[in-house]
Amino acid sequence: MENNDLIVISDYLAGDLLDAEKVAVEQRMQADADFAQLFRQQQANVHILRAVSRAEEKARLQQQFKSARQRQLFTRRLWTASVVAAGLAALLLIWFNPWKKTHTPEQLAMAYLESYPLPVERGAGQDSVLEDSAFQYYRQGDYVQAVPLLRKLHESTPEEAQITLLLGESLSQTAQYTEASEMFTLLAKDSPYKDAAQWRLALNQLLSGETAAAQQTLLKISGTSHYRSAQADSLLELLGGDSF
Amino acid sequence: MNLLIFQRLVRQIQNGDDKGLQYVFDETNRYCVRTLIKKTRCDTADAEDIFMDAMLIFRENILSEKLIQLTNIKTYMFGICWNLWRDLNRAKAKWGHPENETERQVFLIAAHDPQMEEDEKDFVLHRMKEVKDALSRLGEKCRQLLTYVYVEERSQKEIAEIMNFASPEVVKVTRHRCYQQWMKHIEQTAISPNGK
Repeated sequence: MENNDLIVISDYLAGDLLDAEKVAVEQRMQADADFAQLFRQQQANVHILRAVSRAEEKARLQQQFKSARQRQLFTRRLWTASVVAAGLAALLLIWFNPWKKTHTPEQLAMAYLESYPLPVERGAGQDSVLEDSAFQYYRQGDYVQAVPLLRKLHESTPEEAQITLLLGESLSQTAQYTEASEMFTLLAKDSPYKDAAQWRLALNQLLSGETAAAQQTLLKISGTSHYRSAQADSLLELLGGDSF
Repeated sequence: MNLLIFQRLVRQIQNGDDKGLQYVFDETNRYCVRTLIKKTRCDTADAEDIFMDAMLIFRENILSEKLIQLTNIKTYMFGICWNLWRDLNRAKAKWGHPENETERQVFLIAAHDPQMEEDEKDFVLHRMKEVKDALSRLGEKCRQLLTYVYVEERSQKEIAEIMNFASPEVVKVTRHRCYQQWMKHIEQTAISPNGK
C-alpha cells in the first residue's frame, strides 16, 4: 500500500481536495486497477466507520428519548391524576356544599332584623315621667324593664303609634311574640309606621315559628313600593327554597 | 419552520446539545411513525427503528450543512423515513435480515449509495468486524476526529474549535496520522484475527 495514495484517498473521502485534484483521483481510478481497489477498500472502511458511529449514536439517543418519554409519561400521568382528583374534589364539594347553610325561619328573621333600638321620637305624652323612663330603658336595650312601662303608656294612649311600635319591638325582643304581633298588626293596618310595622310583623312571625303567616305578610310587601320589598323577595325565596 | 427556531436547532445540534434532537423527536415522532405504519403496514417496532435512523441522518445533514433551511420538519423527516424504509427493504431482499445494528446501518449506507458495486457491498459486510476491531483499538481522540471528518463531515475549522487544535492545518495533519494508524490496525487485525 502506497502511503501517499492512502493520504490522497483519505483526503478525497474527507472532501478535502480541490476540484482538479478530485478529477485526477477519478482519472487514476479508471487507469490504475490497484489504485481503484485501494480506493474502494478505503471507501468501505469509511462506510463501516459511519455504520459503527450511527449504531452507537442510535443506542445513545434511544436511551435518552426513552428516559425523556418516561419523564413525559410520568408528568402526563401526574397531570391527569391531578385533574381527576380536582374533579372529584369539586364533585364532592358540590355534593356536600359546606358553604350551603341551612337556616331556620328564626335564623332568617334574626339575619334580617335591624339593629336596635329604633330611633325614638319624642311624642306629646301625658305622663312624661313614665314616658321618659320607658324610652330610657328602651334606648338602653333593657326591654324587660321597658315592656311594663310601654304597656302602661299604650293602655293610656292607644292612639300613640310610636308607643305601640316600641311596645311591639320590646315584646318581640322579650320573646312575647303573640302580643308583639298584635301590636304590629294594629299599626300595619293604618298608621304612620305602617311599613315598618308590616316588616316587623313578618319578622316577628318568623321568630315565633309562624312561617306560613310570615310568608303571607311578606307577600304583601313583595313587589310593592315598600322600603323592604327587595328583602321580602329574597326572604320569600329562602323560605320557599330547599334551604331548610 | 421558523428561521429562528431552525437556526437555534442547528446551533444546538452542532454544539452536541441534545435538546435540539429532543425537539425534533417530540415534533415528528408520532407523525412519522403513524404515517409509516399507515403507508407501509409495518409494525410499530420497525417504524420506531426507522424513525431513529432518520433522526441520525437528520443530525448528519445538519452537521454537514447539507440541510440549510427547512419548511416543514414533519414532511422532511417523513421523507427520510420513507427513503430509509425503501432502502432497507431493498437491502434485506439482497442480503437477508441484518444480524445486528451495525450491519443494519451498513445495509442502509450500501443501499443508499448508487455508486457502490454489488461486490463492494459484500466486501463491506465481510470487512466489518476487522474495521470495527481496528476502530476500538484507536485512541479516543483519533476516533473522535475521524468521526467528525468522515461521518459528521464537519469542516476542519469547526473541528479545530471543538477539539482545541491550533489551526485547521493541525487538524489535517492529525487526521492523516489517525487515518494511517487506523489502516495499520486494520491490516494487523486482518493478519491476526485476535488483533494481537
